[in-house]
Amino acid sequence: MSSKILVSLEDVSVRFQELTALHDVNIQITAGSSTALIGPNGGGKTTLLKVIAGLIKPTQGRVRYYDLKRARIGYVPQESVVDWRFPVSALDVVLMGRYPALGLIRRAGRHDREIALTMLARVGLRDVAIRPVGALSGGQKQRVAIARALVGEPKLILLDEPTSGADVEAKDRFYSLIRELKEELSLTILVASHDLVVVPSFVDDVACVAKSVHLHACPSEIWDEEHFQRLYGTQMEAIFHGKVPHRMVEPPAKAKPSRGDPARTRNTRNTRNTPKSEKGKK
Amino acid sequence: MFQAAFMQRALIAGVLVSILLSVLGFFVVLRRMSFIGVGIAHAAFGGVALGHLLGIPVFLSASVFSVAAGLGIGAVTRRGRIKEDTAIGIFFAAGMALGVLFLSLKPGYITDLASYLFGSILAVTPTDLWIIAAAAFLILVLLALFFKELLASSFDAELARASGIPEGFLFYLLLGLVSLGIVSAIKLVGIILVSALLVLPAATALQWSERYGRVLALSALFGLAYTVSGLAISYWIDIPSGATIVILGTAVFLLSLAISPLRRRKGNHPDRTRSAQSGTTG
Repeated sequence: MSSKILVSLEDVSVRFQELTALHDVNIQITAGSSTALIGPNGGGKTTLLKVIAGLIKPTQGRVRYYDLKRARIGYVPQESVVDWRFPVSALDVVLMGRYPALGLIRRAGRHDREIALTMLARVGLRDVAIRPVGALSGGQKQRVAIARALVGEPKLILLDEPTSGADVEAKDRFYSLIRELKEELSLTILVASHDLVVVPSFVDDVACVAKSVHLHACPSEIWDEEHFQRLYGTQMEAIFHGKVPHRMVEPPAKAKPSRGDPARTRNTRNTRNTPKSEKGKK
Repeated sequence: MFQAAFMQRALIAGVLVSILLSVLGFFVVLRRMSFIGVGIAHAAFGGVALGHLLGIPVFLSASVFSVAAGLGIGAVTRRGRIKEDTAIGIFFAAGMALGVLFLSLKPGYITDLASYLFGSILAVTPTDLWIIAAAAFLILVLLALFFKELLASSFDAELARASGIPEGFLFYLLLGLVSLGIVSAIKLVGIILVSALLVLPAATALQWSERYGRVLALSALFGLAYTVSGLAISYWIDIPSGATIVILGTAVFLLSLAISPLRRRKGNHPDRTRSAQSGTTG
């Protein structure tokens, strides 16, 4: 991949008082890439995204942006700490994504509303556009946040645990949508998740974040026991099905038979033998 | 009854101040800063007393005190070392204590002290009126200029910051404007009651609409109605105007709370789980 670099982190460390959240992180994000940040809770995934979003200043090291204005980074937090009784509709919230582009004084006009409505339709929320945002479900709020990030015409989208709590099917649909949007709007995607099931099959690269970024590789290359242990610090048992290793979240009976590979293996050792998958497309 | 010059001044001042405080209150209530208003108003007492002691215009000294208290509370809270209510409690008491100290230094009795504590809308001088008008103009213009940025950062400060909106600056700007608004209203409704005029209209309006534009308009309307009718009632049956306005406002608020069309929805949106993400595909 010889694409342009959008953001690079050089020896970035973040400490909160005594707690080290990130240590000597070096990572480059190239235009058009899609990368999953995986790792244990508390491993620094959110911190890393916030550093890139410009919300947290690194204690050490530097973040370089190449031809990338802050307003062109769309950050979608895991959970917004907001008062959901705030008197705004889904459309109002999405329009807020247009504000930086509008500049001072100018108010959102018809053009902005059209863009916002188009994006709401794109994420499947056209019907609830004028409903109070607080009346929407968790998943819908998440998609409002994504539409809000998208109307700012971003180059880079940062998604923090966008599907936590969703079932496998919903995750699948969600990431399919993200992948479609990525192609349509030529986005660069960085998604943090501790989900090892669905996410890796939708991205080109996986970076493992546990204070430092351990490796940055193709999904299929990381699925061996040693890496798991280094990353999560414990022995892990994985149940796989399908092309790319999937850890089952629900009991097998509930899984969609069409997706599953009937010959599931319950042995981690088999991971190494897992076919390299067709992920080499990049 | 509005033929006498003092009544006309009272009416104009009341209209200006109620609209001003209602609009400020829209942000104050949505950002859960109501108690900050109480703290700022009481801190202003130190400035009122200092003005009397030094013989300088009270509006000036009170403004310095309240703006300093407002920004001080904001700064201390934002650093995160001290909780907001603690900061307010300290500034509140310190301002009052300074007031008591300054008063004790001045020989004799200050006749219109009570009017600063409880307000005396009928004692508004032409100079007061000009000051109020100028303050209202300045504050409303600044609010209009930064309205959409203030809205976005009130709804979700982190996302506003991520998209490049100067959220920190707007936070302090709002505190400064609230402080100034409070000082301009002290003469009318008094230190003790001024925060009610800041909070009640917006709190009532929020019982009637979930769209920010309407909430804002209703807020101004409620504020205006409370003040004008409170003034009239207090004149007819000869009771203190500030107290009448606040009691009237509280009554309307309670009534709204009881019959609000939104009362069943408030605060307990059934947050359907994220499996409601069905329909993501589009």
